[in-house]
Amino acid sequence: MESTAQEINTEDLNLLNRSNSSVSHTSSLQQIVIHKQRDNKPLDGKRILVVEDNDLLRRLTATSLCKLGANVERSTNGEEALNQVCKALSDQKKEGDSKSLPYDYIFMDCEMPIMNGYEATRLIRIEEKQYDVHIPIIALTAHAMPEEASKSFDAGMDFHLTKPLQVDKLMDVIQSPHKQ
Amino acid sequence: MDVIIQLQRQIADYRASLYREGYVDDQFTQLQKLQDESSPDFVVEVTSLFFEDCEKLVNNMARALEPRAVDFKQVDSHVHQLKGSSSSMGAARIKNICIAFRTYCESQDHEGCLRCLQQVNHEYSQLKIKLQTLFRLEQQIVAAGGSIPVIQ
Repeated sequence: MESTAQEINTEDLNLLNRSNSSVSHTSSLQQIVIHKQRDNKPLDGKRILVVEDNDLLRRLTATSLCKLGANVERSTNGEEALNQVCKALSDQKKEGDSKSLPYDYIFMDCEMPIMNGYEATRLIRIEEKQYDVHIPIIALTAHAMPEEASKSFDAGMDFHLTKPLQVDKLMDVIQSPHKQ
Repeated sequence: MDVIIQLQRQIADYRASLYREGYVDDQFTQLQKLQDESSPDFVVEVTSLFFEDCEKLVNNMARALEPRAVDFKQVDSHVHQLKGSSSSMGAARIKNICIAFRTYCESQDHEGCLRCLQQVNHEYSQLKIKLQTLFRLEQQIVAAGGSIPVIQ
């Protein structure tokens, strides 16, 4: 999956630029490198909130997403997540930017103490109505049972993935046409 | 050079045995893939976090299973945590015991729970030894100037 073009870093490119007089050659080389980097960072620039009570899982999910280029914030339970989202929405409104999403995605574990993912999602959806936005929420559950999937959708979640996070399934969800 | 090739073969064989014997599953492979130049000790760090977590949870379970009137919901919450951690670690044997453990919690089977706890303890010690051996091999190869073979 790795191509030799990817191994060319900017230092080499500069050398290439200096030594090579043909502009079209180096610019197409640069395009290949940038394209490869974008391939490897499909979540580049995305702001993601990971809500998970298990320390290890939270760390793993966050690391996987960071590797894909995302800016990741974390919460350890539904209540924390709800507060974080409410604060982000109101901060944005104060800055006069109420239409954009504070997060491109929220990864929400379903089973958590204090406040579970279903409840947190329900309350986030209520809060969102004030701002007329809809943050895509991805439910994370241990199993892929149809009851769990329908429970997630009933609570207002948009997608459903099983833990631990698998990158290919994640990309299917992210690239699916059903997006607000 | 020979030493490095030998070590690489040793590591590959040892890794293969861990998968074959069900100590780890594909999720462990995914962990290796998350390790790179920016986080070169990722696997070792996550593994030690896991073992710390494991120890803490096992102690919590043991305490919760001590009284005659056991709070099975409490026990179950610890098992749930361990199941999540072991699943994200790729610690397959421990994960599978947790699955059985939860059904004993649900049916409030004290004996069954104690048996599972014993099994978890056993598997945790085994896995610790196995992974420490693997990491030691990897350290040896780096010390000898070689590189750790990439997992397919």
